[in-house]
This record gives sequence, C-alpha cells and structure tokens, in this order.
Amino acid sequence: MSEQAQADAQDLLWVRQVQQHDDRAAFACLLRRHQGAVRALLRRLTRGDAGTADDLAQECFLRAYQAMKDFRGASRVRTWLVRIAYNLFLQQQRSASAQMLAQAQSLEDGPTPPELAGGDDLGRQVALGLDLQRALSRLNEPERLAILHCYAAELSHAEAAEVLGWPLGTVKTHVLRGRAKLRVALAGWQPDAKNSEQEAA
Amino acid sequence: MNTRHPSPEPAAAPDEPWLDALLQSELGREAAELGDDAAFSAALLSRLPKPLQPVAMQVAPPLPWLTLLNSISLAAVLALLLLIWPDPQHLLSAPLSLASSEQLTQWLKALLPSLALLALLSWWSWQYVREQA
Repeated sequence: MSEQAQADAQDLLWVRQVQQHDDRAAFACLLRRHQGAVRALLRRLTRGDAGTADDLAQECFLRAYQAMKDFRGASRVRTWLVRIAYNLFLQQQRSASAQMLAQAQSLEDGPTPPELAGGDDLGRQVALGLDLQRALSRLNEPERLAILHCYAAELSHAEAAEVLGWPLGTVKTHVLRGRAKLRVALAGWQPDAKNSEQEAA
Repeated sequence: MNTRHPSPEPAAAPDEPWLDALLQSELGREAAELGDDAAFSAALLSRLPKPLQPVAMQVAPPLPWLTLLNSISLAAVLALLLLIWPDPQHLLSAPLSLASSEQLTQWLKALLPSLALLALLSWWSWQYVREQA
C-alpha cells in the first residue's frame, strides 16, 4: 500500500471515530493533517489575505465537523475538505469581489530579479515567494484555480475537476496553459538560466 | 502535484521538471508551515459544539399518551375484577351494610386477592410504560 493510500485509510479511520463516538482527538488529527493544505490554498485564492483565509479555513473545518456524519468516503477526505473550502471562498468572493479586484491590481509591480534579492537564502526565498505570487496573479482565473488546486491542495486532475465542477479535460487544459505562463514568468528561477547568468557575469 | 490519476495528456512537459519542483516546494512549504499551527487548531477545537451527554445519563419522561393509556388500562382491569367477582353486588354494597368489625374484616379478606392482582398488574404496566418511554 502506498504512503498516500495509507494516509487516506487513516483519514477514514479518524472519520469513523468522529462519526461513531464524536471523538474530538480523531478530529484534531484530521485537522492537523489537512489544515496546512486548506489554509495555503485559501491564502492563495484570497491573494494573500491571511485573515480572511484563516476565517474561511476555520469555517471550513467547523462545517466539515458538522457534516461529517454524512461523509460516506466517496472521495478522499482532502478532496472533500477542499470542496467545502472552495465553496466558502466562492461565497465570500461574491460578497467582496470589488475589494479583491483592488488587491489583485496592487500586485502589478515588476518581477524581482534573483540577483536583487540578496545573496542569502532568506532573501532568495522571499523574492521567489513574491515572484510566484505575481506570476500566479497574472494567470487568468481558471488557470490560477486549476494550478492552485493541483499544486497547493495537492489534488489530482480528476479531484480538482470534481471540486471545481469542471470537465476533466478543461482542468488539464488550464493546468497546461497556466504552467506555460508560469514557465515564462519564472524563467529567471530556472537553475540553468541562473547558472548561465552567473557565468556571463 | 498528485499524479495518482495518470492522464493521456501529460501534466508536465519533459523539459520543465524545475517548474514542478519549484511549485511543489514553494506551495508545499507554505502548507507545511501553516499545518504546524497549534493556535489555529486550539481556536478551532474550542469552537466545536459541546459533546452530547451519553444516552444513559438522560432520563426521558414518560410520554403523556402512555401515561393516559396506563390509567385507562388500570381502570379497565379494576372494572373487570369487580364484574367477574362471584357476587359483585354484595361486594359493592358491602361497606354500606357492614354492621360489625368482624364483617368488615371478612369483606377486606375477600377483597385481598383482587387487590394483590391489581397491584401486580399496575407494577407491570408501569414497567412497560417506562420501557416504551
């Protein structure tokens, strides 16, 4: 059994304990295992608004707890949680769409070249994070959603299609297009490119 | 990226492994950092609804219609006992015509088995009502 399959089986055991015995410790285990991916996805979806993202994440897990008695294991627990989180995000987005547009426009600065980020690892990490955020913000919305669900939430294409309510082929197309744009936007971070820049210097 | 569901369309072109590695490391690092947050977990767990009391701790009151049924059944049993008694007219009229304590004692002794049966039926009926509730 693969590591992923073992983790999924353990998830189901925890879910059963919550369903049958209202086991708070089991729910805490589920929370610890999935909160990182759910919170990271929501932060990216809300374009870095950590407060809103964490509020949505709290609401997501509360709803999951309340709805857990109806969970039958038709999908992975991670997929189920991401679907709840994404639906909450869509609800929130409808009520705050104007505010989010303003935040998106504030990211229209130029890229941070790796050589300006400072020589230390921390500076490089910060610069890479900013560049990635900018690159993601320049994708169109379907591409961004497809990339975030597949990479930040670690879903397969099929699972992302299930959460987003799109055909599988649409998800694959958006992932490919998004990757192509990211490849161009982040070309400066390609190891060979950096080596060649250093050699030229 | 999770690739448990292989697709005919390649998820990544062969010449871009660095992009996959970059996305996975950056987005995965953020998830790992956010996943190790005890304050978030504690805040959420404190917001969960309080656990329900075990069923055994709860004492459910008898349903009103069962109580009513119980009373009716007891009255029916009493009426039946009086009707099937060998000399019901004598029993019903006896207290009024009892002239001595000896006659009263005799009347009570005659009624005793009937009262004992009534008590037994009442107890059984009450137990039944409690089980149903």
